[in-house]
Amino acid sequence: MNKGVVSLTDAKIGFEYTIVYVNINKTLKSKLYDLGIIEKSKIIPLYKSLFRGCVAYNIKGSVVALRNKDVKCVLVRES
Amino acid sequence: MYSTNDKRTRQKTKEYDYEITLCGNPNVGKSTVFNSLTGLKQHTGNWTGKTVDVTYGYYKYNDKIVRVVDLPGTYSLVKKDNEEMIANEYIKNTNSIIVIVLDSTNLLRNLSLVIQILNITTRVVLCLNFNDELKKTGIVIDKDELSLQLGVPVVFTCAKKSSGLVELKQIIDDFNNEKLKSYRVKNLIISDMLKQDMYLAAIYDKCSDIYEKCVTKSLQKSKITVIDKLLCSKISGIPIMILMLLVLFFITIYGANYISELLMLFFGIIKTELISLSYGLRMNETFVSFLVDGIYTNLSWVVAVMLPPMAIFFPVFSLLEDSGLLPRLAFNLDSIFCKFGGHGKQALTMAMGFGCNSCGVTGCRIIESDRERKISIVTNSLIPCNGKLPSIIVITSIFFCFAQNSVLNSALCALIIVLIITLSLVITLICSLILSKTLYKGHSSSFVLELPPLRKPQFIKTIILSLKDRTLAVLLRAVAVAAPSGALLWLMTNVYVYEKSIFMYCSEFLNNFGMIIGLDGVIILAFILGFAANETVIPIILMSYMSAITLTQYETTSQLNQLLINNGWTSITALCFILFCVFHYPCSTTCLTIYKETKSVKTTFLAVVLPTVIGILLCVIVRSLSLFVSFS
Repeated sequence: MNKGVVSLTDAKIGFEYTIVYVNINKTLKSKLYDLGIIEKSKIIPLYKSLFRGCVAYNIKGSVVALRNKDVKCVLVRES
Repeated sequence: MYSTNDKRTRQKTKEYDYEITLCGNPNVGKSTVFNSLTGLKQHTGNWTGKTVDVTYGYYKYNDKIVRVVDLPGTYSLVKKDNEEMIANEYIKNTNSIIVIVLDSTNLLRNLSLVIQILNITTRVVLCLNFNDELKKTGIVIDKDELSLQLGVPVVFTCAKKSSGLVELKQIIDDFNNEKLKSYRVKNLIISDMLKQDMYLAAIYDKCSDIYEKCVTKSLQKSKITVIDKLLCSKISGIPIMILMLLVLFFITIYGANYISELLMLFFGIIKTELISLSYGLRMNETFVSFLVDGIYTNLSWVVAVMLPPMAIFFPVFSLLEDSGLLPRLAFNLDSIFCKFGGHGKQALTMAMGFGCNSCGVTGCRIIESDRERKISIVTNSLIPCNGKLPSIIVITSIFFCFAQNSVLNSALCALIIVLIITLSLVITLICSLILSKTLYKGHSSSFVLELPPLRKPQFIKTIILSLKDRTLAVLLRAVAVAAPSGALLWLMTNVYVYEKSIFMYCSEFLNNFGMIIGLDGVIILAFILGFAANETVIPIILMSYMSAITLTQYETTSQLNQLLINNGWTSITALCFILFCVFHYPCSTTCLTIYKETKSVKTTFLAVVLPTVIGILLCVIVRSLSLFVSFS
């Protein structure tokens, strides 16, 4: 099984990932941190929206929708 | 249409013994706890950021008056967001008891805020809300362990069913009397000298620690229901939403016909009774005619025509709002809005605009980026609000639905209204695109939106509340503004200057302009007078037409149809009326709100001009096309 580091946008629906690195601007980073999107947290992509604009993720028990272009630089590893 | 600011300021000045402050993550039911504690009826909705202002309320317990402050939801105290600053400043400077409301089904994430607050103050009581859902998900929270770990009292509540609230009040009271004490847990102290990400990482470590100690079954697997999957799917998501809108309008129109007929019948009987009563009392005949044919008939028409669609539409819409459907709408539409320079959350503010544009404009605060917020504010009144919808429904159902079968008829009518709403959505998108390329240039901001779990709405409570807050409020506003408008109309039709009444001067003056856009002087005048409240447009039109003919018989829509046709209405007039009704300047309240929110005359002016210009253009196009077709 491939356990390499990928961008969150390439994560497969329904699989559990561990966040490795959050490499984004400060404002958005603090927003994501508030929602629990932080290094070492578990994240599961749930559904993709129309035109692949955003994806809803399960993070710490709640569902959060994020735009793909915002989270391109969030790196995850399949766990 | 919701609790007004004035009410809040009045409430703010009342005497009280001590104060509690409700805070917590967004959408954990703070407003529901607030309502259950105070008995106030703040509007609640199942989405993040429904509460955008600080609200005050009071309750009495053990002979003490307690002031309750409801803060807007906040995820963290670190952030610098406008909304969240309100919460931050308040918690840092207040001396009140902080009641942190937590979603017990999502404890892990909620704990982060608790630890942050505990680093500032220990005058804290924890309120674990949604106790009922906890049982369904199979999570068991050890309340005593949690209390021990955090050093503060913990109470389970289910505010929706008002359970656990007496216990909460008791604990708050004990806390105030110092019968109960909290203590600082050394382990939870985190140096604020740490960098922001280190600080938050440290907090999350502590959260996981506490979570593992207090919760026996973890909720890492979310409750993905089939419905949720269908609603968020890229294939079925949008079609389902459109279908729901169709069904919503179908129910509204189909049901409204029956209620309308019943009401007409009822008012007819009352009228006969009134007339026989007045004969019995030997009253002056002209006076009786003025009272019964004038005031009574007009008012009963307003009620019979406007009430039924509103009495069905608003409660059903509120139920959808309560179930958590709207954030999913925002999720589905974000990519489209993003392509057009807007923001996915604009879908939420548009949905609020559906209820009331003024609320929609205030709701735009949930959009962080200034330029995207202004785009949403300016385009908000392109969505027909609840003042405009009844007029649109009435005119559509009497002019465009000719099917013999009443079910088919209502379905056709619902389809037309959904098309009208789709048109307003398309125009909103186009305007957003133009605005984002011209006046409000810039990069699109990020989109982070929590999708709350779908919740079964509180049927009876929601229906009663929306009937009271929305339906009745709109109706009363219509009646209240219709009365002075009626008086004004009476004066205008009865004061003569050089053999012509003022009304004739005005409507003749406006008639030329009205003709260009496929309407007439009376309709334009009604729209001008309707600036006070959109609800009054149809009543004013009816009143002006009826000043010539007196309505004697009570029949449903067919007579209304006849009245309008007698005054020169054609299906083109009706179409132009609907278009102009959707696209014209927002009402006075909304204009004021836009100014308050933006502090900019320019933006307010733009919000007035933009829809009006679009409306005039569309009407001119329709009229020109109809002329072209009839000539060729």
